[in-house]
Amino acid sequence: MKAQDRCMTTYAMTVQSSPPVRALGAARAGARHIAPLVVGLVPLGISIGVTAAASPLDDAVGWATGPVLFSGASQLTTIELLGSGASAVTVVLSVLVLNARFAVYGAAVAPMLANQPVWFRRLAPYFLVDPIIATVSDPATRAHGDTWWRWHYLGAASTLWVAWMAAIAAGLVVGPRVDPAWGLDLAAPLCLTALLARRLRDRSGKVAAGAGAGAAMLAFVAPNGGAVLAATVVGSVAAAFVKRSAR
Amino acid sequence: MRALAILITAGVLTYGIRSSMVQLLHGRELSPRWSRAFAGAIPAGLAAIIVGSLAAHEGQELPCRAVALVIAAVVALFTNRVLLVVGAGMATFWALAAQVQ
Repeated sequence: MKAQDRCMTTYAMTVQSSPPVRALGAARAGARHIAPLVVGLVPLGISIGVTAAASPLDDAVGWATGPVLFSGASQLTTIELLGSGASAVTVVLSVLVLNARFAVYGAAVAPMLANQPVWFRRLAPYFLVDPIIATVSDPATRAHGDTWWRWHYLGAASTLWVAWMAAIAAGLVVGPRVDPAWGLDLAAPLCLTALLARRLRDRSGKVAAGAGAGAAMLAFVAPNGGAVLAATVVGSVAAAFVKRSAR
Repeated sequence: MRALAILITAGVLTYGIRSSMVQLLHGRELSPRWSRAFAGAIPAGLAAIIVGSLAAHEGQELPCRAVALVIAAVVALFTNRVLLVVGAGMATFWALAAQVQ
């Protein structure tokens, strides 16, 4: 009887913690973790839609910058450049400069993808944006194992993606009703400030952030996406030498 | 059609950028220094975007936004709640913007 009870308990535990249930739980956790950031980023998505609505560009193309580029800064730049009739080379180069930092993000997340299946290693980079990298690189999320982390990533990424597309569409609809004086676009850097604070718990993070912020002052002199890329590289180099100087 | 073709080209190349280092570094072990460098890219990139966001503004709005970000940063050091940080920053900005108008 006792052996039978043990078998039933084991069976019940197996069903309760089966892979599909764990995956769903991890995905829900990812959605919960990114939800506050989504709320803060929605104003930026709406502002992109508003910009697209005001542009000579077709609304459908303006919205399509969302799923095609999935990056706020490059979407805004693309809409403005295409709307002004800029050349293809200008548009593409501008986007590449703005998004070049994602290569460094890819290097940062590469170790986390090392044990993941091929389909996920191909899919995950598409969603690589600042809120995602900040959420999924949190050591607390990696403590649950590779499978949990993968579904956590997908839960966070899909939540952000759906909300982002909806926000852009909403911006296209509400258009000129949004007053720039409200400063709603400030919500996005405020969200990133919250995420950055979590990265300042060790000296390496502080040095990287300080160096990056200092180098980003270049944006006041040369206001283009190159300043962000340069600042990211400067901060990364500074972080590389932190331990050496601490000896 | 022209705009869409340019957009798709930019999108494909953007995916290439995002995926490049993931595929290149797959199965390779980095030295501790390179690992620190790439890990440092996250706080550096976030800080760069935050500071860079101020460059698009001028006049009286710039200091209002700067102070709002500083207040938000202070709040963020004491709490993990993103909405609290965003709320503190936005409230600061609106209060200051109302004063300077």
